[in-house]
Amino acid sequence: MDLSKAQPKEQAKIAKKYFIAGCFCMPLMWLVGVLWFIKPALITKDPSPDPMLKRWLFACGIGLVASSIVFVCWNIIFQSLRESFGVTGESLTAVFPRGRF
Amino acid sequence: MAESSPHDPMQETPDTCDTDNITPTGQDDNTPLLSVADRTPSSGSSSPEKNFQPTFDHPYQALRFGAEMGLKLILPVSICMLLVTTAVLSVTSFTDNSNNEYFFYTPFHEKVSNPGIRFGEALANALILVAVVLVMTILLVLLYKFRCYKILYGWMLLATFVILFFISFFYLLDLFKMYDVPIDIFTLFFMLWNFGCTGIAAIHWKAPLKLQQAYLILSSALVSLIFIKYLPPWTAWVILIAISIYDLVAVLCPIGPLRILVNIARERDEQLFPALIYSSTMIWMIGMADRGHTVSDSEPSDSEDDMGTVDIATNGQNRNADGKQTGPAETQENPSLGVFETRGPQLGLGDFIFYSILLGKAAHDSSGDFNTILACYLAICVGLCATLLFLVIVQRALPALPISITFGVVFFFGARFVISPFLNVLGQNQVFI
Repeated sequence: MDLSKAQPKEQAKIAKKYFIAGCFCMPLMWLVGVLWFIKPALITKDPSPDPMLKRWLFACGIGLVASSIVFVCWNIIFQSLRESFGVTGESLTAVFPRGRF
Repeated sequence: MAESSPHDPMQETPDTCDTDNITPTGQDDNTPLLSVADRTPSSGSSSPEKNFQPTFDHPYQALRFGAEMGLKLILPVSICMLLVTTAVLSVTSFTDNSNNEYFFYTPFHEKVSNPGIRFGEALANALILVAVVLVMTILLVLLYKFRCYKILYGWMLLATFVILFFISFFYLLDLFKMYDVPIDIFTLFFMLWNFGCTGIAAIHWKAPLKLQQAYLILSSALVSLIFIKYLPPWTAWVILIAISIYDLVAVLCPIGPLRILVNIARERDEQLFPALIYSSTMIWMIGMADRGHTVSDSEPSDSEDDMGTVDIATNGQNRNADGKQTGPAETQENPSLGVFETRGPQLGLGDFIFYSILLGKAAHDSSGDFNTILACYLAICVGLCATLLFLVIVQRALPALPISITFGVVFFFGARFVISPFLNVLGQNQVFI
Protein backbone atom coordinates (compact mmCIF):
# COMPACT_ATOMS: atom_id res chain seq x y z
CA MET A 1 0.00 0.00 0.00
CA ASP A 2 1.05 3.51 -0.44
CA LEU A 3 1.46 5.39 2.79
CA SER A 4 1.57 8.77 1.23
CA LYS A 5 -2.02 8.40 0.20
CA ALA A 6 -3.24 7.55 3.65
CA GLN A 7 -4.40 10.04 6.21
CA PRO A 8 -1.95 10.84 8.99
CA LYS A 9 -4.24 9.27 11.53
CA GLU A 10 -4.23 6.03 9.65
CA GLN A 11 -0.50 6.23 9.25
CA ALA A 12 -0.18 6.51 13.01
CA LYS A 13 -2.53 3.58 13.48
CA ILE A 14 -0.51 1.38 11.19
CA ALA A 15 2.69 2.46 12.92
CA LYS A 16 1.20 1.55 16.25
CA LYS A 17 0.18 -1.86 14.97
CA TYR A 18 3.67 -2.44 13.66
CA PHE A 19 5.09 -1.60 17.03
CA ILE A 20 2.74 -3.94 18.82
CA ALA A 21 3.47 -6.71 16.34
CA GLY A 22 7.16 -6.23 16.92
CA CYS A 23 6.68 -6.75 20.61
CA PHE A 24 5.93 -10.40 19.95
CA CYS A 25 9.61 -11.20 19.43
CA MET A 26 9.54 -9.76 15.94
CA PRO A 27 12.18 -7.10 15.52
CA LEU A 28 11.83 -7.53 11.79
CA MET A 29 8.49 -5.79 12.04
CA TRP A 30 10.22 -2.99 13.88
CA LEU A 31 12.77 -2.79 11.13
CA VAL A 32 10.07 -2.63 8.48
CA GLY A 33 8.22 -0.04 10.52
CA VAL A 34 11.27 2.13 10.90
CA LEU A 35 12.19 1.95 7.24
CA TRP A 36 8.66 2.54 6.09
CA PHE A 37 7.67 5.35 8.43
CA ILE A 38 10.85 7.36 8.28
CA LYS A 39 9.75 9.01 5.09
CA PRO A 40 6.21 10.05 6.03
CA ALA A 41 7.13 10.97 9.58
CA LEU A 42 10.38 12.82 9.22
CA ILE A 43 10.97 13.70 5.62
CA THR A 44 7.72 14.72 4.01
CA LYS A 45 6.23 17.90 5.29
CA ASP A 46 2.71 17.00 6.21
CA PRO A 47 0.24 19.85 6.61
CA SER A 48 -1.34 18.21 9.62
CA PRO A 49 0.84 15.45 10.94
CA ASP A 50 -0.20 13.11 13.65
CA PRO A 51 2.02 13.53 16.71
CA MET A 52 1.77 9.87 17.56
CA LEU A 53 3.43 8.85 14.33
CA LYS A 54 6.82 10.11 15.39
CA ARG A 55 6.42 8.52 18.77
CA TRP A 56 5.68 5.10 17.34
CA LEU A 57 8.52 5.52 14.91
CA PHE A 58 10.96 6.18 17.71
CA ALA A 59 9.53 3.34 19.74
CA CYS A 60 10.13 0.99 16.85
CA GLY A 61 13.60 2.39 16.41
CA ILE A 62 14.58 1.91 20.00
CA GLY A 63 13.12 -1.58 20.04
CA LEU A 64 15.03 -2.40 16.89
CA VAL A 65 18.36 -1.22 18.26
CA ALA A 66 17.87 -3.01 21.55
CA SER A 67 16.84 -6.30 20.00
CA SER A 68 19.64 -6.18 17.44
CA ILE A 69 22.18 -5.77 20.18
CA VAL A 70 20.73 -8.70 22.06
CA PHE A 71 20.62 -10.85 18.93
CA VAL A 72 24.14 -10.09 17.86
CA CYS A 73 25.54 -10.62 21.35
CA TRP A 74 23.80 -13.93 21.75
CA ASN A 75 25.10 -15.13 18.42
CA ILE A 76 28.64 -14.07 19.15
CA ILE A 77 28.52 -15.85 22.48
CA PHE A 78 27.00 -18.97 21.01
CA GLN A 79 29.25 -19.24 17.98
CA SER A 80 32.46 -18.73 19.86
CA LEU A 81 31.70 -20.68 22.99
CA ARG A 82 29.60 -23.44 21.52
CA GLU A 83 32.07 -26.21 22.09
CA SER A 84 32.91 -25.19 25.58
CA PHE A 85 29.31 -25.41 26.66
CA GLY A 86 29.40 -29.15 26.56
CA VAL A 87 26.08 -30.83 26.72
CA THR A 88 24.11 -27.59 26.80
CA GLY A 89 25.81 -26.45 23.65
CA GLU A 90 24.93 -29.64 21.88
CA SER A 91 21.31 -29.52 22.90
CA LEU A 92 21.04 -25.95 21.71
CA THR A 93 22.54 -26.56 18.31
CA ALA A 94 20.08 -27.17 15.54
CA VAL A 95 22.52 -27.82 12.75
CA PHE A 96 25.72 -29.71 13.30
CA PRO A 97 28.43 -28.83 10.83
CA ARG A 98 29.69 -31.99 9.25
CA GLY A 99 32.70 -30.52 7.55
CA ARG A 100 33.91 -31.69 4.22
CA PHE A 101 34.25 -35.31 3.44
CA MET B 1 -8.94 3.14 8.67
CA ALA B 2 -9.93 2.02 5.34
CA GLU B 3 -8.94 -1.50 5.85
CA SER B 4 -10.28 -3.85 3.43
CA SER B 5 -11.74 -6.83 5.05
CA PRO B 6 -10.51 -9.81 3.25
CA HIS B 7 -13.87 -10.99 2.28
CA ASP B 8 -15.01 -7.73 1.02
CA PRO B 9 -12.99 -6.76 -1.90
CA MET B 10 -12.74 -3.15 -2.28
CA GLN B 11 -15.02 -1.47 -4.60
CA GLU B 12 -13.14 0.23 -7.21
CA THR B 13 -14.05 3.27 -8.94
CA PRO B 14 -15.85 2.48 -12.04
CA ASP B 15 -13.13 3.71 -14.20
CA THR B 16 -10.88 1.03 -13.30
CA CYS B 17 -11.12 -2.16 -14.63
CA ASP B 18 -8.98 -4.23 -12.81
CA THR B 19 -9.94 -7.52 -11.83
CA ASP B 20 -6.95 -9.43 -11.99
CA ASN B 21 -7.87 -12.76 -12.31
CA ILE B 22 -6.04 -15.14 -10.42
CA THR B 23 -6.59 -18.68 -10.39
CA PRO B 24 -6.18 -20.91 -7.53
CA THR B 25 -3.14 -20.41 -5.65
CA GLY B 26 -0.44 -22.73 -6.48
CA GLN B 27 0.79 -22.46 -3.03
CA ASP B 28 -1.07 -25.03 -1.17
CA ASP B 29 -2.34 -27.62 -3.47
CA ASN B 30 0.34 -27.11 -5.99
CA THR B 31 -2.21 -25.79 -8.32
CA PRO B 32 -0.75 -23.34 -10.67
CA LEU B 33 -1.50 -19.77 -10.29
CA LEU B 34 -2.57 -18.54 -13.52
CA SER B 35 -2.61 -14.97 -13.57
CA VAL B 36 -5.02 -13.52 -15.73
CA ALA B 37 -5.62 -9.99 -15.71
CA ASP B 38 -8.60 -8.68 -17.24
CA ARG B 39 -8.76 -5.14 -17.93
CA THR B 40 -11.46 -3.56 -19.75
CA PRO B 41 -12.46 -0.06 -19.46
CA SER B 42 -16.05 -1.06 -19.48
CA SER B 43 -16.74 -2.37 -16.11
CA GLY B 44 -20.38 -2.03 -16.61
CA SER B 45 -20.64 0.72 -14.14
CA SER B 46 -22.77 3.70 -14.41
CA SER B 47 -19.87 5.98 -14.83
CA PRO B 48 -19.13 7.41 -18.16
CA GLU B 49 -16.99 5.10 -20.13
CA LYS B 50 -13.61 6.42 -20.50
CA ASN B 51 -11.36 5.57 -23.20
CA PHE B 52 -8.33 4.42 -21.40
CA GLN B 53 -5.99 4.25 -24.26
CA PRO B 54 -2.78 5.91 -23.37
CA THR B 55 -2.11 9.01 -25.36
CA PHE B 56 1.38 9.63 -26.50
CA ASP B 57 2.71 12.63 -28.29
CA HIS B 58 5.60 10.88 -29.78
CA PRO B 59 5.98 7.27 -30.85
CA TYR B 60 9.10 7.12 -28.74
CA GLN B 61 6.94 7.55 -25.69
CA ALA B 62 4.81 4.61 -26.64
CA LEU B 63 7.87 2.47 -27.08
CA ARG B 64 9.32 3.58 -23.82
CA PHE B 65 6.09 3.01 -21.98
CA GLY B 66 5.80 -0.47 -23.38
CA ALA B 67 9.39 -1.21 -22.48
CA GLU B 68 8.91 0.02 -18.95
CA MET B 69 5.87 -2.14 -18.53
CA GLY B 70 7.77 -5.11 -19.78
CA LEU B 71 10.66 -4.42 -17.47
CA LYS B 72 8.43 -4.13 -14.49
CA LEU B 73 7.53 -7.74 -14.99
CA ILE B 74 10.76 -9.12 -16.33
CA LEU B 75 12.72 -7.88 -13.36
CA PRO B 76 10.78 -9.76 -10.67
CA VAL B 77 10.52 -12.85 -12.84
CA SER B 78 14.27 -12.74 -13.33
CA ILE B 79 14.89 -12.35 -9.63
CA CYS B 80 12.71 -15.34 -8.87
CA MET B 81 14.43 -17.43 -11.51
CA LEU B 82 17.81 -16.32 -10.26
CA LEU B 83 16.95 -17.37 -6.74
CA VAL B 84 15.74 -20.77 -7.84
CA THR B 85 18.63 -21.42 -10.18
CA THR B 86 21.31 -20.48 -7.68
CA ALA B 87 19.60 -22.54 -5.03
CA VAL B 88 19.38 -25.56 -7.31
CA LEU B 89 22.97 -25.30 -8.40
CA SER B 90 24.57 -24.56 -5.08
CA VAL B 91 22.65 -26.61 -2.56
CA THR B 92 22.57 -30.15 -3.79
CA SER B 93 19.97 -31.32 -1.33
CA PHE B 94 17.40 -29.15 -3.05
CA THR B 95 17.36 -31.55 -5.95
CA ASP B 96 18.30 -34.69 -4.15
CA ASN B 97 15.28 -36.91 -3.88
CA SER B 98 16.98 -40.13 -2.94
CA ASN B 99 14.40 -40.73 -0.25
CA ASN B 100 11.91 -41.12 -3.04
CA GLU B 101 9.32 -38.88 -1.60
CA TYR B 102 6.84 -37.87 -4.16
CA PHE B 103 3.52 -36.15 -4.26
CA PHE B 104 0.63 -38.49 -3.87
CA TYR B 105 -0.77 -37.36 -7.17
CA THR B 106 2.24 -38.36 -9.17
CA PRO B 107 1.96 -42.05 -8.50
CA PHE B 108 4.34 -43.14 -11.22
CA HIS B 109 7.87 -42.64 -10.11
CA GLU B 110 9.76 -43.26 -13.31
CA LYS B 111 12.00 -45.95 -12.03
CA VAL B 112 11.89 -47.85 -15.27
CA SER B 113 14.68 -47.74 -17.78
CA ASN B 114 12.63 -48.08 -20.94
CA PRO B 115 12.26 -44.52 -22.23
CA GLY B 116 8.90 -45.21 -23.80
CA ILE B 117 7.39 -46.43 -20.56
CA ARG B 118 9.09 -43.61 -18.74
CA PHE B 119 7.53 -41.06 -21.00
CA GLY B 120 4.19 -42.76 -20.64
CA GLU B 121 4.45 -42.55 -16.88
CA ALA B 122 5.42 -38.90 -17.08
CA LEU B 123 2.42 -38.24 -19.27
CA ALA B 124 0.13 -40.04 -16.89
CA ASN B 125 1.49 -38.04 -13.97
CA ALA B 126 1.02 -34.83 -15.88
CA LEU B 127 -2.55 -35.64 -16.75
CA ILE B 128 -3.36 -36.46 -13.15
CA LEU B 129 -1.84 -33.19 -12.05
CA VAL B 130 -3.73 -31.19 -14.63
CA ALA B 131 -6.92 -32.88 -13.48
CA VAL B 132 -6.14 -31.92 -9.90
CA VAL B 133 -5.50 -28.36 -10.96
CA LEU B 134 -8.73 -28.28 -12.87
CA VAL B 135 -10.69 -29.53 -9.90
CA MET B 136 -9.05 -26.96 -7.66
CA THR B 137 -9.78 -24.19 -10.10
CA ILE B 138 -13.39 -25.18 -10.39
CA LEU B 139 -13.63 -25.28 -6.63
CA LEU B 140 -12.15 -21.82 -6.46
CA VAL B 141 -14.55 -20.50 -9.07
CA LEU B 142 -17.50 -21.98 -7.23
CA LEU B 143 -16.40 -20.52 -3.95
CA TYR B 144 -15.91 -17.19 -5.57
CA LYS B 145 -19.21 -17.36 -7.36
CA PHE B 146 -21.12 -18.06 -4.20
CA ARG B 147 -19.25 -15.34 -2.39
CA CYS B 148 -17.62 -17.56 0.19
CA TYR B 149 -14.98 -14.97 0.71
CA LYS B 150 -14.17 -16.15 4.17
CA ILE B 151 -13.29 -19.63 3.00
CA LEU B 152 -11.27 -18.25 0.15
CA TYR B 153 -9.37 -15.89 2.32
CA GLY B 154 -8.76 -18.63 4.86
CA TRP B 155 -7.44 -20.86 2.11
CA MET B 156 -5.03 -18.19 0.91
CA LEU B 157 -3.91 -17.49 4.40
CA LEU B 158 -3.31 -21.16 5.10
CA ALA B 159 -1.35 -21.53 1.90
CA THR B 160 0.94 -18.62 2.61
CA PHE B 161 1.29 -19.78 6.19
CA VAL B 162 2.42 -23.23 5.15
CA ILE B 163 4.83 -21.89 2.59
CA LEU B 164 6.34 -19.20 4.69
CA PHE B 165 6.78 -21.29 7.76
CA PHE B 166 7.10 -24.97 7.04
CA ILE B 167 8.62 -25.01 3.62
CA SER B 168 11.01 -22.22 4.34
CA PHE B 169 11.99 -24.01 7.56
CA PHE B 170 13.11 -27.06 5.67
CA TYR B 171 14.94 -25.07 3.09
CA LEU B 172 16.60 -22.87 5.65
CA LEU B 173 17.78 -25.97 7.48
CA ASP B 174 19.14 -27.45 4.26
CA LEU B 175 20.89 -24.22 3.50
CA PHE B 176 22.61 -24.15 6.86
CA LYS B 177 23.57 -27.78 6.58
CA MET B 178 25.08 -27.16 3.19
CA TYR B 179 27.25 -24.33 4.39
CA ASP B 180 28.18 -25.94 7.71
CA VAL B 181 26.78 -23.16 9.79
CA PRO B 182 26.11 -24.21 13.37
CA ILE B 183 22.89 -22.49 14.24
CA ASP B 184 21.29 -22.72 17.59
CA ILE B 185 17.66 -23.50 17.99
CA PHE B 186 16.75 -20.08 19.33
CA THR B 187 18.23 -18.20 16.42
CA LEU B 188 16.73 -20.57 13.91
CA PHE B 189 13.21 -20.37 15.21
CA PHE B 190 13.55 -16.70 15.88
CA MET B 191 14.54 -16.03 12.28
CA LEU B 192 11.83 -18.29 10.99
CA TRP B 193 9.19 -16.69 13.17
CA ASN B 194 10.19 -13.22 12.06
CA PHE B 195 10.38 -14.15 8.42
CA GLY B 196 7.05 -15.91 8.44
CA CYS B 197 5.06 -13.36 10.37
CA THR B 198 6.41 -10.43 8.44
CA GLY B 199 5.62 -12.33 5.27
CA ILE B 200 2.04 -12.87 6.26
CA ALA B 201 1.70 -9.22 7.22
CA ALA B 202 3.33 -8.14 3.98
CA ILE B 203 1.21 -10.29 1.73
CA HIS B 204 -2.14 -10.17 3.44
CA TRP B 205 -2.08 -6.95 5.34
CA LYS B 206 -0.39 -3.63 4.91
CA ALA B 207 3.25 -3.32 4.12
CA PRO B 208 5.47 -1.40 1.79
CA LEU B 209 4.94 -2.51 -1.77
CA LYS B 210 8.52 -3.59 -2.26
CA LEU B 211 8.30 -5.85 0.75
CA GLN B 212 5.13 -7.45 -0.52
CA GLN B 213 6.68 -7.99 -3.91
CA ALA B 214 9.78 -9.46 -2.31
CA TYR B 215 7.77 -11.90 -0.26
CA LEU B 216 5.68 -12.94 -3.23
CA ILE B 217 8.84 -13.61 -5.20
CA LEU B 218 10.29 -15.56 -2.29
CA SER B 219 7.22 -17.70 -1.83
CA SER B 220 7.10 -18.41 -5.56
CA ALA B 221 10.74 -19.45 -5.43
CA LEU B 222 10.05 -21.75 -2.48
CA VAL B 223 7.14 -23.43 -4.22
CA SER B 224 9.23 -23.87 -7.36
CA LEU B 225 11.94 -25.52 -5.32
CA ILE B 226 9.42 -27.88 -3.83
CA PHE B 227 8.25 -28.86 -7.27
CA ILE B 228 11.76 -29.28 -8.57
CA LYS B 229 12.65 -31.53 -5.70
CA TYR B 230 9.63 -33.75 -5.49
CA LEU B 231 8.64 -34.25 -9.09
CA PRO B 232 10.16 -37.09 -11.08
CA PRO B 233 12.49 -35.72 -13.75
CA TRP B 234 10.61 -36.33 -16.97
CA THR B 235 7.28 -35.63 -15.31
CA ALA B 236 8.33 -32.07 -14.60
CA TRP B 237 8.87 -31.30 -18.25
CA VAL B 238 5.66 -32.92 -19.37
CA ILE B 239 3.80 -31.11 -16.62
CA LEU B 240 5.12 -27.78 -17.81
CA ILE B 241 3.77 -28.40 -21.26
CA ALA B 242 0.51 -29.82 -19.98
CA ILE B 243 -0.08 -26.90 -17.65
CA SER B 244 0.59 -24.36 -20.35
CA ILE B 245 -1.94 -26.06 -22.59
CA TYR B 246 -4.37 -26.07 -19.69
CA ASP B 247 -3.69 -22.41 -19.10
CA LEU B 248 -4.37 -21.62 -22.70
CA VAL B 249 -7.64 -23.48 -22.68
CA ALA B 250 -8.79 -22.31 -19.28
CA VAL B 251 -8.31 -18.69 -20.04
CA LEU B 252 -9.38 -18.42 -23.62
CA CYS B 253 -12.12 -21.00 -23.90
CA PRO B 254 -15.58 -19.70 -23.07
CA ILE B 255 -16.24 -22.44 -20.55
CA GLY B 256 -12.76 -22.24 -19.12
CA PRO B 257 -12.84 -21.78 -15.35
CA LEU B 258 -10.40 -18.94 -15.40
CA ARG B 259 -12.38 -17.09 -17.94
CA ILE B 260 -15.50 -17.51 -15.83
CA LEU B 261 -13.56 -16.20 -12.87
CA VAL B 262 -12.50 -13.15 -14.79
CA ASN B 263 -16.01 -12.48 -15.94
CA ILE B 264 -17.48 -12.80 -12.49
CA ALA B 265 -14.87 -10.48 -11.10
CA ARG B 266 -15.50 -8.05 -13.85
CA GLU B 267 -19.23 -8.10 -13.25
CA ARG B 268 -18.74 -7.47 -9.62
CA ASP B 269 -16.15 -4.87 -10.29
CA GLU B 270 -13.83 -6.42 -7.82
CA GLN B 271 -10.23 -7.16 -7.53
CA LEU B 272 -9.25 -10.71 -7.23
CA PHE B 273 -7.15 -11.97 -4.40
CA PRO B 274 -4.40 -9.44 -4.08
CA ALA B 275 -2.42 -12.07 -2.29
CA LEU B 276 -2.04 -14.14 -5.40
CA ILE B 277 -0.83 -11.67 -7.87
CA TYR B 278 2.31 -9.75 -8.14
CA SER B 279 1.62 -6.10 -8.77
CA SER B 280 4.35 -3.87 -9.87
CA THR B 281 2.79 -0.85 -8.35
CA MET B 282 -0.07 -0.33 -6.06
CA ILE B 283 -1.51 2.79 -4.71
CA TRP B 284 -3.87 2.86 -1.84
CA MET B 285 -6.38 5.45 -2.38
CA ILE B 286 -8.80 6.74 0.11
CA GLY B 287 -11.50 8.08 -1.94
CA MET B 288 -15.03 7.87 -2.93
CA ALA B 289 -16.22 4.65 -4.28
CA ASP B 290 -19.37 6.37 -5.23
CA ARG B 291 -19.85 5.95 -8.86
CA GLY B 292 -21.42 9.27 -9.38
CA HIS B 293 -18.21 10.98 -8.67
CA THR B 294 -16.03 9.32 -11.12
CA VAL B 295 -13.32 11.09 -12.74
CA SER B 296 -13.82 12.99 -15.81
CA ASP B 297 -11.63 12.97 -18.80
CA SER B 298 -9.60 15.78 -17.53
CA GLU B 299 -6.66 13.72 -16.56
CA PRO B 300 -5.53 11.63 -19.41
CA SER B 301 -2.18 11.13 -17.86
CA ASP B 302 -3.61 8.91 -15.22
CA SER B 303 -5.21 6.66 -17.66
CA GLU B 304 -2.02 5.38 -19.05
CA ASP B 305 -2.39 2.18 -17.22
CA ASP B 306 -5.20 0.98 -19.22
CA MET B 307 -3.39 -1.57 -21.10
CA GLY B 308 -4.65 -4.97 -21.31
CA THR B 309 -2.75 -7.56 -19.63
CA VAL B 310 -2.58 -11.04 -19.45
CA ASP B 311 -1.85 -11.90 -16.14
CA ILE B 312 -1.01 -8.47 -16.33
CA ALA B 313 -3.49 -6.07 -15.24
CA THR B 314 -3.08 -2.50 -15.35
CA ASN B 315 -5.83 -0.83 -13.73
CA GLY B 316 -5.94 2.58 -14.92
CA GLN B 317 -7.64 4.48 -12.34
CA ASN B 318 -7.81 8.05 -12.09
CA ARG B 319 -6.33 8.41 -8.80
CA ASN B 320 -6.77 11.36 -6.75
CA ALA B 321 -8.87 12.81 -9.39
CA ASP B 322 -11.70 10.96 -7.80
CA GLY B 323 -11.10 12.22 -4.38
CA LYS B 324 -10.09 15.62 -5.42
CA GLN B 325 -12.95 16.28 -7.64
CA THR B 326 -15.48 15.38 -5.08
CA GLY B 327 -13.81 17.63 -2.66
CA PRO B 328 -11.84 16.85 0.43
CA ALA B 329 -14.89 16.96 2.63
CA GLU B 330 -16.40 14.03 0.95
CA THR B 331 -13.31 12.04 1.24
CA GLN B 332 -13.38 12.55 4.92
CA GLU B 333 -16.93 11.44 5.18
CA ASN B 334 -16.28 7.97 4.06
CA PRO B 335 -12.93 7.12 5.45
CA SER B 336 -13.77 3.50 5.38
CA LEU B 337 -14.08 3.35 1.66
CA GLY B 338 -10.75 2.66 0.28
CA VAL B 339 -9.99 2.00 -3.24
CA PHE B 340 -7.20 0.00 -4.53
CA GLU B 341 -5.60 1.63 -7.37
CA THR B 342 -3.29 -0.56 -9.17
CA ARG B 343 -1.04 0.64 -11.80
CA GLY B 344 1.49 -1.15 -13.68
CA PRO B 345 1.35 -4.67 -14.86
CA GLN B 346 0.48 -7.56 -12.66
CA LEU B 347 1.43 -11.13 -13.09
CA GLY B 348 0.05 -14.13 -11.33
CA LEU B 349 2.23 -16.08 -9.01
CA GLY B 350 1.64 -19.29 -10.89
CA ASP B 351 3.56 -17.91 -13.80
CA PHE B 352 6.46 -17.04 -11.57
CA ILE B 353 6.41 -20.55 -10.22
CA PHE B 354 6.36 -22.31 -13.56
CA TYR B 355 8.99 -20.11 -15.14
CA SER B 356 11.25 -20.79 -12.20
CA ILE B 357 10.55 -24.50 -12.36
CA LEU B 358 11.56 -24.47 -15.99
CA LEU B 359 14.78 -22.68 -15.37
CA GLY B 360 15.58 -24.68 -12.26
CA LYS B 361 15.08 -27.94 -14.10
CA ALA B 362 17.13 -26.62 -17.00
CA ALA B 363 19.93 -25.81 -14.62
CA HIS B 364 19.76 -29.14 -12.86
CA ASP B 365 19.22 -31.46 -15.78
CA SER B 366 22.03 -29.99 -17.78
CA SER B 367 24.29 -30.11 -14.74
CA GLY B 368 24.72 -26.40 -14.60
CA ASP B 369 25.54 -25.80 -18.22
CA PHE B 370 25.45 -22.07 -18.65
CA ASN B 371 24.54 -22.17 -22.31
CA THR B 372 21.37 -24.03 -21.56
CA ILE B 373 20.42 -21.82 -18.66
CA LEU B 374 20.99 -18.68 -20.64
CA ALA B 375 19.08 -19.98 -23.64
CA CYS B 376 16.08 -20.90 -21.50
CA TYR B 377 16.18 -17.59 -19.65
CA LEU B 378 16.20 -15.60 -22.85
CA ALA B 379 13.46 -17.74 -24.27
CA ILE B 380 11.27 -17.06 -21.26
CA CYS B 381 11.91 -13.33 -21.43
CA VAL B 382 11.15 -13.22 -25.12
CA GLY B 383 7.98 -15.20 -24.48
CA LEU B 384 6.93 -12.78 -21.78
CA CYS B 385 7.48 -9.81 -24.03
CA ALA B 386 5.55 -11.49 -26.81
CA THR B 387 2.71 -12.14 -24.39
CA LEU B 388 2.74 -8.50 -23.36
CA LEU B 389 2.56 -7.56 -26.99
CA PHE B 390 -0.47 -9.76 -27.51
CA LEU B 391 -1.96 -8.28 -24.44
CA VAL B 392 -1.73 -4.79 -25.78
CA ILE B 393 -3.25 -5.88 -29.04
CA VAL B 394 -6.05 -8.01 -27.69
CA GLN B 395 -6.80 -6.04 -24.51
CA ARG B 396 -8.13 -9.03 -22.71
CA ALA B 397 -7.09 -11.52 -20.16
CA LEU B 398 -4.47 -13.74 -21.60
CA PRO B 399 -2.51 -16.68 -20.29
CA ALA B 400 1.10 -15.88 -19.65
CA LEU B 401 2.34 -19.43 -19.64
CA PRO B 402 2.02 -20.94 -23.08
CA ILE B 403 4.34 -18.86 -25.20
CA SER B 404 7.14 -18.64 -22.70
CA ILE B 405 6.99 -22.26 -21.67
CA THR B 406 6.96 -23.43 -25.26
CA PHE B 407 9.97 -21.33 -26.11
CA GLY B 408 11.66 -22.38 -22.92
CA VAL B 409 11.14 -26.08 -23.44
CA VAL B 410 12.16 -25.93 -27.09
CA PHE B 411 15.28 -24.03 -26.22
CA PHE B 412 16.13 -26.30 -23.34
CA PHE B 413 16.12 -29.41 -25.45
CA GLY B 414 17.72 -27.60 -28.34
CA ALA B 415 20.46 -26.15 -26.21
CA ARG B 416 21.11 -29.28 -24.24
CA PHE B 417 21.31 -31.68 -27.10
CA VAL B 418 22.34 -29.55 -30.03
CA ILE B 419 23.71 -26.14 -29.21
CA SER B 420 25.83 -26.99 -26.22
CA PRO B 421 27.67 -29.95 -27.68
CA PHE B 422 28.16 -27.93 -30.84
CA LEU B 423 29.71 -25.08 -28.91
CA ASN B 424 31.83 -27.47 -26.92
CA VAL B 425 33.22 -29.07 -30.04
CA LEU B 426 33.86 -25.66 -31.55
CA GLY B 427 35.67 -24.63 -28.43
CA GLN B 428 37.78 -27.73 -28.37
CA ASN B 429 38.83 -27.26 -31.93
CA GLN B 430 39.30 -23.53 -31.47
CA VAL B 431 36.90 -22.59 -34.17
CA PHE B 432 35.31 -19.24 -33.51
CA ILE B 433 32.14 -18.32 -35.24
